[in-house]
Amino acid sequence: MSLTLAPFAALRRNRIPPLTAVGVAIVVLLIGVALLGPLLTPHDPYQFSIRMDESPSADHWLGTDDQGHDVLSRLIAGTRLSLMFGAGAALIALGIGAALSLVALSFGRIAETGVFSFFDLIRALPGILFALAFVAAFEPGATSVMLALGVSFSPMFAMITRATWRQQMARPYVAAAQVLGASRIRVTVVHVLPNIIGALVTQFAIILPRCIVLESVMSFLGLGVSPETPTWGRMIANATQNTEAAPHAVLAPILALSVATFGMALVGDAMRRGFDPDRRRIAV
Amino acid sequence: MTSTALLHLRDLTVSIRTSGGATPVVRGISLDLFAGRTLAIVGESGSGKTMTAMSILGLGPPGTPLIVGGEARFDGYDLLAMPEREMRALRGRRIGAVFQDPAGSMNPLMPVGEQIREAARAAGAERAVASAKVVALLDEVGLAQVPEIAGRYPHELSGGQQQRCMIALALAGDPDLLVADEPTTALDSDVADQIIALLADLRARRGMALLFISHDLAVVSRLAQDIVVMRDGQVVEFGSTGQILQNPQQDYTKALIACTPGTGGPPRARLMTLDMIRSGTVPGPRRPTTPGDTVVSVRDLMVKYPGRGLLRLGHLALQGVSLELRAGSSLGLVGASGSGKSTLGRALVGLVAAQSGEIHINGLELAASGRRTASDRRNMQYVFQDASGALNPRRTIGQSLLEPQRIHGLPVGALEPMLAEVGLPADIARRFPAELSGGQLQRVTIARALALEPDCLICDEITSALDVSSQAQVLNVLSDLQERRNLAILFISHDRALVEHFCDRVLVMKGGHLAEEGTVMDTINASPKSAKVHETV
Amino acid sequence: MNDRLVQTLVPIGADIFRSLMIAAGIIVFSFFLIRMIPGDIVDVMGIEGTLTYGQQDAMRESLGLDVGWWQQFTAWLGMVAGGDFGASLRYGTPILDLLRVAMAPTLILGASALAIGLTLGIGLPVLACVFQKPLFVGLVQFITLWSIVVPTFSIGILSVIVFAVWLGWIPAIGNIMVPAIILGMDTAGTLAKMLHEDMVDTERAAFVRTARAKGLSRWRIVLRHILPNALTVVVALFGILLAGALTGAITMEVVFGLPGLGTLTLQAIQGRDYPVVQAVVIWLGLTVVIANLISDLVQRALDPRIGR
Repeated sequence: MSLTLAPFAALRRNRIPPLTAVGVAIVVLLIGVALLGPLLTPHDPYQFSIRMDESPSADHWLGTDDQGHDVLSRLIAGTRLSLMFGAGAALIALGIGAALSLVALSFGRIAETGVFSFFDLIRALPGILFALAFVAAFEPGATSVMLALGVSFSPMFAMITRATWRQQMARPYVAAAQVLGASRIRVTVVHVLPNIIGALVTQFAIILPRCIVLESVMSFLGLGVSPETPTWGRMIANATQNTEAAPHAVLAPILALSVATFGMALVGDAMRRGFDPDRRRIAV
Repeated sequence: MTSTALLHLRDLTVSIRTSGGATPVVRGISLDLFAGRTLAIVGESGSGKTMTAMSILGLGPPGTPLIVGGEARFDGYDLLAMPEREMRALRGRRIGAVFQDPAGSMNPLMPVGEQIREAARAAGAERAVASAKVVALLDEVGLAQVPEIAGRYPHELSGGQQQRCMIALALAGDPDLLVADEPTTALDSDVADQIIALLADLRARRGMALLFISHDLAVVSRLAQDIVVMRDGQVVEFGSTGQILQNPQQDYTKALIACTPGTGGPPRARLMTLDMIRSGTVPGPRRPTTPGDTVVSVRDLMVKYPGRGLLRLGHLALQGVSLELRAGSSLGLVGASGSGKSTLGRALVGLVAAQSGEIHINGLELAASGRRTASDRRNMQYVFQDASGALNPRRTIGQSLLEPQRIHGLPVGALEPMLAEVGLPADIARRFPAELSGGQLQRVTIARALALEPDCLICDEITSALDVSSQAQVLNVLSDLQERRNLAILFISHDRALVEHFCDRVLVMKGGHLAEEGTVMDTINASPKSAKVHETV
Repeated sequence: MNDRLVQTLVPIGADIFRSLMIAAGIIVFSFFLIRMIPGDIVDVMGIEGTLTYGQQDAMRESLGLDVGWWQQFTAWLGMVAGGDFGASLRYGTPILDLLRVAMAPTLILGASALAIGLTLGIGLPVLACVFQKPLFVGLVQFITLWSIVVPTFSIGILSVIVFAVWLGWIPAIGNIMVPAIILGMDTAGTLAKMLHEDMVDTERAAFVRTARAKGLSRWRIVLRHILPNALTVVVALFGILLAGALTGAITMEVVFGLPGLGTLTLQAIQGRDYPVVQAVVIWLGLTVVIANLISDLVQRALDPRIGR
């Protein structure tokens, strides 16, 4: 074909879209707040006070909630907690999904069929329903929420691992390496794994904000962390009981949650498009 | 004279608008095509020949803004000033088009008859007439005998049948001009011959004009009355077919003719290149080689591909194949796609497991199952058709070239001599595959295959993705290497002229069997009948 | 011809078989999930102090919990196979009746969300493809971005605060229109994103150039050539879209106070009414399995290249 478009695609590649830049800025800010958390809080986030349901003021920038907690301080403390719970759940999903599927893929057809039937089964249960049932069976709390979300998102990592594996194994350069005498291990390590790692990192960036949101949903439904722990979901759950007196106490964590997922989703989506435009079919 | 031309181009320029300005792809083309005649535009990839045709049709690639200048008239209409709505009325009815990739050029979800009917309806045929027209068109392109052809989906047809359907579709509006953009490039050579004959026949019968675009002078010479040679968006030379082929004036045209195997007069030891023409060098005549010892011998090789899914029977790709490869000599393997020639090459290097048979290399037997020890592999290497795919895009050329030594734990040698041997500069080692041209990439994979100093090299369609000038360079490099290293080469190709140039002996493969064996001249010229693999329905 | 029939039917059979296996897996899973609870249901109620030991034993016997787990499993399996999920521990009514009542709001919410989602999710990319105007492309990008970055959960709560508490436009409990629009926007965004990207890809396909060379109108090129080819990929994801809508519906019901399956499940979990949880898991799981099966079969029917 004498009509090649490759050079034009290359021209486009070097431009960073403004939205992606916004996303990166948000993510950097979030990580900063999470790391520096205790240094930034103006008040003790766990300190009760009689100054309840106060509107934002110079002392309490975001006001206080129905128990007199400083909302801004709880929001900052919650940043670290929410990110940690989300990242924990996403890491569990990554661990289960990637490890199981890689083992199954290297052991051959029967192992592959077995393991991926398991993932198909989990995929058939809507995520939140699985998590609800799981948490119901064990005790509600941070660990079971993380485990539940981890297991329910694990198929997303398994699917992408398998798709990338198959795609790479079919590449002529893998056959070329085999003809040159490369062992199975060398082919996997040198040619296949780098691509799988790229795909998994991208998938992690996409899954992480969903885990953070679902943790909030679980907390909102009363099945997450203990009521005193100020994750964003808990703050929302507590404050929705009292919307009329202190709407700012609901709005603050909801906006924090929205901005955080907004930034992370933008970064994840940019990574997905940059890494391999064909892979979106599995990343849904 | 200009007023009577059906298609009239004067100083046509086409640029692609980019963020940094405009990139010119066609820089001033002038030509006239008269009713009932055939004009060919010949050029290598990037010459602007396809862009010229597409800008006439108003079919630029989607999402790529084109800036078109100069003058383009079809039957008096100013094509460049026409609104899209009027262009649409012209396309299909007055100008038909056939493209390179027949499989991709038809909607995979629609039966072919329906697609032809849609074209007839778009060209103004009444509902009742359109169905009859589909039958007539399919008959006209020679598909009348195929049962239920109109109800079939594109993927259920062979490449030749698909291209015949595309031609029927292009003719549905009875156009005055048919634009054919590389219509035979994706096809096996025998099928391509049939399509060329069909196009010539249809043009004569319908009295339409044909604008034929191709990179292949040999194909063009059989069809066109006039030829325009293009390079870098400009016309290099223009003239009648006889004039261009017998008496080319420009060095580039001479090189294009000479480097196309089968068109350059008596067989020579090397293919002509532009550099040779410029420097006045002429390669010596081809001398018969004396084959050395047997390096590889194959006995009764059988390969069966497993069927997919339940109840699916396997497919016998090789049904008892025997051959010998000798040092310093090239064995050609020709055949239509699906004949099993690539399977044979892949089975030899163990990429495909053979069910039975023996493979010996230097007298030692290799496991037919495809299991090879690292040292087994060193003696037999393979060069892939798709050079850019055969190199890991994330690794530099240097890293890829040194992989063989790393795999086998050999001392890592210098990169410069490896690259120099295939005629590439040393600084290429630091680059990535995406930065190199197809011809350069194929020379890199040859250098990589030779890093282990094998006795035997299997070349699977290694130039089919390349332009003729790159092809000449790659083949010349391969010839040099064969002489220097006394290599036994199995040369797999669908292009008979190429095999004729490169090989000493040739095998024809058909349906998993070796049909014929002999010297090149015997097989290809003396008995064309059995060498031709006719398209089966 | 007979051969062709076999080639068509065998993969369909394989699809159905796979779905049955997954359905069986869900049923077994939901039984053992509840078995994983430390102690049984009666223990839990005993700890809460509502039952005497004698009542506990009687209850175990009536619930069939005094026999081995295998016998419990087979007995339970027999019930489920007959469409009987048992009785709610909390209300004492048959679970099927509870489900039937709770299903209506969930179905209305899910169906209207899907309807909004399919209309916008297919309509906007088609308009963007036909007209290629910044307005339509912008709308597709907006709804896509919306679904990626705005979780239905937080926008749901925001809507309650703004529309119900502050403005008083909708009742704080029982409004179905707002959650349906929120869920529909989310589904539409997911769908529009995939469809738009696929349509842009398909636009470059050689057969679209053929369609243009035929002189077809833009509408016809899009509806007959680009859309069907882009849709084959989207159809494969219908099951996932439905699962997403159901997941969203569960949350939305709680946020907007709708008495649907989500609320029922949540109350069952809080009230340790495990047979109800079990039944909901089975019911929703099977819905997704069936949706996946249908999307597989529709994809086969749409694309003649699959399974030949």
